[in-house]
Amino acid sequence: MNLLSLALAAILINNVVLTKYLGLCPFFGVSKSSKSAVGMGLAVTFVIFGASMITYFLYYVILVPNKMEYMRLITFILVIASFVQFVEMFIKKFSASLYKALGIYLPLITTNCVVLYVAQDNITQKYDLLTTAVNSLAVPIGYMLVLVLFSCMRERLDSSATPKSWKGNPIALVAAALMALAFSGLAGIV
Amino acid sequence: MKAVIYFLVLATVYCAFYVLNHRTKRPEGCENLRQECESCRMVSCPANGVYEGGKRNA
Repeated sequence: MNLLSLALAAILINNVVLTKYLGLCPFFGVSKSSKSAVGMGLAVTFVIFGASMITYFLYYVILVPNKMEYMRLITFILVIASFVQFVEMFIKKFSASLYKALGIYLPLITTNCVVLYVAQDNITQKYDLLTTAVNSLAVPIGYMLVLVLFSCMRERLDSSATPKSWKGNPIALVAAALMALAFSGLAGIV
Repeated sequence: MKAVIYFLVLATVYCAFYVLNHRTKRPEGCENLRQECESCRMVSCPANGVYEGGKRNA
């Protein structure tokens, strides 16, 4: 039950975009169509899960035994960047269809602060391996959920009669604020 | 000293993956993929629409 409530909280209540205001650049930049939102969400999920597991092991197997906890931040940044390069190279070589769907988003994910946030949060909260895995899956699932929902809203907004000065980013920001308000109403379910 | 060596190892791993990734050719049909990001006007960002085919337009 604890893992389930952790997952639900990470997806809905403590949503990384709407509550913590992280990952806003791709949230506004890649939400113009649902197709790109799904692609971005899947890529983010894969990168966050992989990078979190690698950083978790690195921290407890190398940094802690050698009393180098202060190297945590630079380690995580380099590991995340290396992992994204590796993943991009791997899918370029072995899956053209996957590269066509996700490849263009991978460089954008390197600088996505959600990836670093999840890696850091797993250590700060002192999660064990299973909890780390659940958290590392739940946070990007919440990110993808919000991204897809927002992309659907933006598609509707693009075809609606928005005043000229509100078209594009202004109305998108208002919509995101209303979405954050709506999600804050879920606070009591867990 | 341990920290410096550790950092150099990580940096070397990153550089190696970066070089290998850029030497790996894109699959056929994926040469002209570009992101359609219009969220801000930061032209220094490679995802900005001012870039096309790896080159910057005026």
